[in-house]
Amino acid sequence: MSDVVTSPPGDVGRNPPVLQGQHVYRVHWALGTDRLHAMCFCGADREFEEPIELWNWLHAHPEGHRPPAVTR
Amino acid sequence: MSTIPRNQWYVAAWGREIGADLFARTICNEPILFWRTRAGAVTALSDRCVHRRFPLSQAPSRLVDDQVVCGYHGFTYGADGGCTVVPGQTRVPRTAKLTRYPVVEQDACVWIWIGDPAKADATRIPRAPWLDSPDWTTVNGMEPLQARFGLLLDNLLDLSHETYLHAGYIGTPEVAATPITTEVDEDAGIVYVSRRMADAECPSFYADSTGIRGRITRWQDIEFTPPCLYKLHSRIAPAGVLPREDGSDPDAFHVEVVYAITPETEHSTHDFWSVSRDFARDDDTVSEFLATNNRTVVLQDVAALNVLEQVIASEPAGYQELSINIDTGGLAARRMIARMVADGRPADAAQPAATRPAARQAEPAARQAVLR
Repeated sequence: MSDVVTSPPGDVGRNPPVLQGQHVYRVHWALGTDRLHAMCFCGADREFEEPIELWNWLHAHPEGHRPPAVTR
Repeated sequence: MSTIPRNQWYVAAWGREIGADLFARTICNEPILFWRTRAGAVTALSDRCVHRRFPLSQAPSRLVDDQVVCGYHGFTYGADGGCTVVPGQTRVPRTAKLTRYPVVEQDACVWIWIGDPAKADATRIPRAPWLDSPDWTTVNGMEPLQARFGLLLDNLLDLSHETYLHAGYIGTPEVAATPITTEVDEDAGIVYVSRRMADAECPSFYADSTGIRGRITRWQDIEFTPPCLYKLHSRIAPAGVLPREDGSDPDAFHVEVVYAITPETEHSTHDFWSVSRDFARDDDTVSEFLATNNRTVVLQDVAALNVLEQVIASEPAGYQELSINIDTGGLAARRMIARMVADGRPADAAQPAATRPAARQAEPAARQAVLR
């Protein structure tokens, strides 16, 4: 069951996030490239060239997932 | 081994399909008998007499005062599945009872639970409020597909095929050329695929229904709640026109395309489709146009997938296929379905929890997704 409201205006190239659950995986197909940018709900992200390896990595969480370091 | 998830809700029919006459449909390999009782409720029972398995939907079986009378020997059953009459004797055997399926009529659909009735939770049925909202006008239909339901999932989760299979109807070059964003909420059970075309050719499907001439901003947001309900939130506006800062969107046309993908057997599927719109709501010409064109598009898919089923069914197990970037959402849906299949099997055959994705091992969260 879900409630959908109008997405906010924004960059039509990189779509705004829609799902707001605690465990959401996001994959952007980077504009102008063949690269898939995978983002885990833990903060880890990585680029891939094909989707099967990408999903294997996302679903392996937390194995191999290192969230980006916090910069001050 | 079955590829169909059990312990799930499926759309069995459009509500309008079921009236006071017997109605039969096979859902997930199970032959089911439906009718609408005099009180207006839809009932769903096994379509096999317990005696010699004669189909209760088959003439001369008939409905008499909300009871179905088997046309072979006269066994009679009430709307609750209980046997009330056994021919030639007064004792009704304890096992003379039809399987009764949990049913919910909601959003113009008749939903049925396939699996353990004790696990049926109607609050888990995904919603499609446009289908019977007075603020939207809807046309719908159902086409039989002689292909496994997974092929239709692959098809609908990757709309880049519109450019080729549906050229001249809903496909334009931009559909296959626009990057997509895929989101997956494992807890809520949602695969969401967004494709936002900023400056696209307007296909005839939308040009003729909206009256827009010239190029458009076209958004296609897929929201799939496996295993059955697929919603395509479609927004069409003159190129460059976006929703307003306050979130309202009066300058665009909105179309909600809904599919319910219900397995009939391992190799056939009920392809329910509907198109709801928030414009030209009283224009029957637009309704007829959208109904005719969407059915044409559905039949283009059906023709292609029927061929594909024949090809795949003749291939040896473990045939090779290649997945590319456009398949990102479809692969996520496949994985979610595979887990549902494993979860729906008897406990001694289920996949060990340790091999499931981490998000699935977390504390169960409310299935209701929070979207924005």
